Amino acid sequence: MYPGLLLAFTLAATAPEASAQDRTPPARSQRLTSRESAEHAIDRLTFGARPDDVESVQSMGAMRWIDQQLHPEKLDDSGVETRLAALPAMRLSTDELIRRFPPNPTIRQLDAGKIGMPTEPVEHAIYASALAGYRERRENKADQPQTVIQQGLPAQGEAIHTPPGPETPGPETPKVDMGALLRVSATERWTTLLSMPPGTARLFLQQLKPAERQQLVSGMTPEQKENLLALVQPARVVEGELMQQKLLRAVYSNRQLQEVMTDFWFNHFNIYIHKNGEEPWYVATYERDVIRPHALGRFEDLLSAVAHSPAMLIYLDNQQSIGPHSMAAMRAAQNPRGKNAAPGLNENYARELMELHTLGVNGGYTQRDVTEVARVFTGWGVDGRDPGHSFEFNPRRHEPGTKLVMGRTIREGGEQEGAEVLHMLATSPATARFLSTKLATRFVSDTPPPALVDRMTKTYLKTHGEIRQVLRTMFRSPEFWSRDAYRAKLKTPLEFVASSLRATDANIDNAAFLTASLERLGMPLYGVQQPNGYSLKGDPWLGAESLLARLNFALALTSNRIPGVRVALPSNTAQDSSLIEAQLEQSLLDGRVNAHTHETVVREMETPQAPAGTAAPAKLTAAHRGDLFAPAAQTGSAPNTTATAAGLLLGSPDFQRR
Amino acid sequence: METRRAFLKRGAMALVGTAAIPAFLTRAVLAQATTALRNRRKLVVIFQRGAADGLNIVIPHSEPSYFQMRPSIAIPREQIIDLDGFFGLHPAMQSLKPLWDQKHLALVHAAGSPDVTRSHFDAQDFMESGTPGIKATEDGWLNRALQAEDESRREVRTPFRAVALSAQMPRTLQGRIPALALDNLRDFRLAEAGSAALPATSGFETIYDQTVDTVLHSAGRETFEAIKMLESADPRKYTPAAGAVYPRGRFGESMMQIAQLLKADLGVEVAFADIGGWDHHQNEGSVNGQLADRLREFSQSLSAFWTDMGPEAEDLTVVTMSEFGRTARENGTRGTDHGHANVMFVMGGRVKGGRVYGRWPGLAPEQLNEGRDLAVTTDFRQVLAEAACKQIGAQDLDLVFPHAAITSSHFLNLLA
Repeated sequence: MYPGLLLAFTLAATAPEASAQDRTPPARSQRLTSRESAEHAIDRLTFGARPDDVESVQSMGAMRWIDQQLHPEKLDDSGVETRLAALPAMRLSTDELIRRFPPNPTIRQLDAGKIGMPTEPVEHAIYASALAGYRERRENKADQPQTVIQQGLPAQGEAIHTPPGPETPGPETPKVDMGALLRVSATERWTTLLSMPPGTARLFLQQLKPAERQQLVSGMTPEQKENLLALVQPARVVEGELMQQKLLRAVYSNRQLQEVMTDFWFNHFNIYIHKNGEEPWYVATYERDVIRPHALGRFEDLLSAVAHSPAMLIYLDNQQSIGPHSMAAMRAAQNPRGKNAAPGLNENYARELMELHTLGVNGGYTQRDVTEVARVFTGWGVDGRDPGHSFEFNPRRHEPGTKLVMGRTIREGGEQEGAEVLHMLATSPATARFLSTKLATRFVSDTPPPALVDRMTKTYLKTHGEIRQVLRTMFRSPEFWSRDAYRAKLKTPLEFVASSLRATDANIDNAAFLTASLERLGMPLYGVQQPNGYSLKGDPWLGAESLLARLNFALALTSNRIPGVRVALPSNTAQDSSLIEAQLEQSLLDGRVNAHTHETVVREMETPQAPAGTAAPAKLTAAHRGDLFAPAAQTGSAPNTTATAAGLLLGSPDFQRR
Repeated sequence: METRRAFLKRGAMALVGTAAIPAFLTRAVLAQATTALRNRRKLVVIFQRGAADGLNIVIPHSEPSYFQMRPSIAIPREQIIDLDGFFGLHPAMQSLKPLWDQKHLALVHAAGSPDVTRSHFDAQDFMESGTPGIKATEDGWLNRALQAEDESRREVRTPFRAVALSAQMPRTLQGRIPALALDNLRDFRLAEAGSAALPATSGFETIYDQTVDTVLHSAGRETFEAIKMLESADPRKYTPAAGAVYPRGRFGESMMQIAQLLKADLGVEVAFADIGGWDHHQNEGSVNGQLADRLREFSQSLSAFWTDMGPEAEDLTVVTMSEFGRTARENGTRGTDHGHANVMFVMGGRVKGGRVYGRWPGLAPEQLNEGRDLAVTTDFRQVLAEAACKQIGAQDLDLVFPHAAITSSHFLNLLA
């Protein structure tokens, strides 16, 4: 096949003959204009248009641009890489992450003397601080009934780690001469803090005001800041950077379709970051090494990578599952007084593998098949040793014997049985249809046209699950370019936040307040407890609270009240309101604003503003307690008219659609 | 007798009619509304998401096999709070015992869905839609329970008629009757500068009022009505009644906010809250542990709510549900896997409590569903239908639970 030819053909078929500037609302049946085609392509394949995007996609031609997006490896992405340099932990392997930012199990081992204290000075300081904190908490727990922070985010106002009160035994808050400390170089400050007695730097940092902490770390390298944060809460380094990188990539990556698809597949193979204390260390590498590399590749490779990922095996309990007749089970049965109760099968992964990852809920399997698949995957687990923290097949846990999955005999073959089942599921027509429907729901419509899904299903089966080809079929179909599809999708909160930042060309220094905003919008990152992920449809996002949070976010963003984020809107000195408003409409929405909205915004701009009070400072949520170096929240000044106008436009119904 | 079609048509007309009512109900109108609504009974529905282990919550301690099947997680006999000589409560639920003794708490054991799915999502979906086995149902049973009322007689509308304490609208309340999902009452306003008079608030209201996007138009309308009503009710200043101590955590917070809303007379008729974290595949615990912690939060929240509501609790019914129970035997990881029947709690002024309702199917191997779980002997819809009918006046049970053919003869008669 010669792509150029096909492209030319497709362009002729789908594109646009009407004049680009013609803004009369067209009849429903009319084809999209070339301007609209460019807008539509950007709306669907990206996290939103930046001010000049529509222009450049239109001049390049929407199909050619789409083809570029389908080959992200050819697109330069150094811009986002530069920004990601501020998050150095996100480049590490799971082993390195666990070593540098020790999770609780590591500290328990350290406490029990099962592992030694690291000798490298920075690691030594971090481990010593964590150990001191661990012992302190244990002392406290012994005295009072423990309030368990259940899986999930702590409730509002509830601290993840209650800061020790005055009666708490433990290290005294050190007397530090802040003035003197601020006079020395960043590296000297860093050294001073790291060499404080274990546990004291943590107390010192926690008691500082946010602005003081900012001063303290100014001039330090990202690695140095990470080290200090790790003295306080190692887990938060990993979680915090993971969430920040997600937003930075969504906003700044040139490989927009790859990021959209990474988000899509993460949501499809959802993992909840607070499932247990270890999950963040695995989720960081899961998204980077398991999901993203396969986001546009072959589905079977993706499925297999997920099945082999420690993150999924832990999240869906498969690493707990032990064949009832396996060697491990026999051994345990002979020793009933052993530490562990008789081990057994856990069906969680097997069920979700079929229901959510491949066949779909009506995919033709029974409870019996679920149990059989669970038997197949016994032994698939995680090697928890260091170095390790990677996939391990443990034959001692594997259930012997032949299995029967959906009428097909799987001969005894250890790890190979799982590969056989994954292949069978990945190539099933039910999977092809289930995935095609889901993709069309994300990219075309909440109720995707059956003819389109049929065509995508055929491509899937013909290409043995090449995701890129399935997408290509969708992007070349008349249903994708139909007027019914144009601006028919409601943005999810993540899409809303990212598109607002892209439309305003915002500069993000620190994304902590943005990830907190997503919690308020009802879509915390990596925050779906259940394996089915977030809804791809509009309805669940239309609640009053969720809508109100959007309006609040729009106003806060445009008036620069989100710490760590700045937008530069045109200044409004002595210009005509209507003119400024029109400029804003053009840059934020490519001019796609309802006439009533236009009038209202202009009227609000011209109404003398009430003597404005100060706007409430932005707040972080409880989940961000550990983000010690998040920028200080400040009370914003009252928004000027341009900021209010831009806020109204971003909060308007027109901006909620894509 | 009116046909279903005619009813729906009239319902739709009534809805169109609401547009004529000014969006903002002033305090005066509100006062009038609440007088009319004061005598109305209220229904609070609680979903325990993740499949709570009913056999360790209301424990059949006279079943010898209970202890055999759960060697490490069974509650020792002497620690169970006995209820009637056969069943007993988990020891972490002490705070609900007084309600049982006062006969304000009834239990329905071996209740569940006729559908056999063991998928959390399907089972929750079926329970919330109220149509087990039918995926295509678009609305939730509680929304339809409100639709079943004769709307022509409704004089005043309030956006708070149906409220869910969650960031997103739960399936249970999705549907034609507008409902409100709130995560936290205190933050429910435009943070611009704290006053409704400022440009952004009025600007947004106008923009949403004028949009041709009908979906966002109605979402905006609900939002601005709610903001204003809540502002006049001033729920930020709230102190629970003496003796009502809500536990820390999201569920306690939700129950407290439901109490606030009910006491503020905003016209709440149904409220919904959920509590997650019941999916104990491993290390479930026994007297102490993961389940015990969950149950403590669950029961303390309910008892604090009861105390907080004081005399108004007489008008209330609270019903709890969970998508399915868990396996009768503990699994290889000292937890339990997805099972079938479960226990429901029904609490309220008109509840004929102090009794465990439903037929007990037994725990002997041959009595178990598929040889592994407690069998269902009461369809969960029998309980919900009675609550919908007697508490919020839903007479058309075919509308609430289509294809179920539930009539009042199926009620357990646990409400007076």
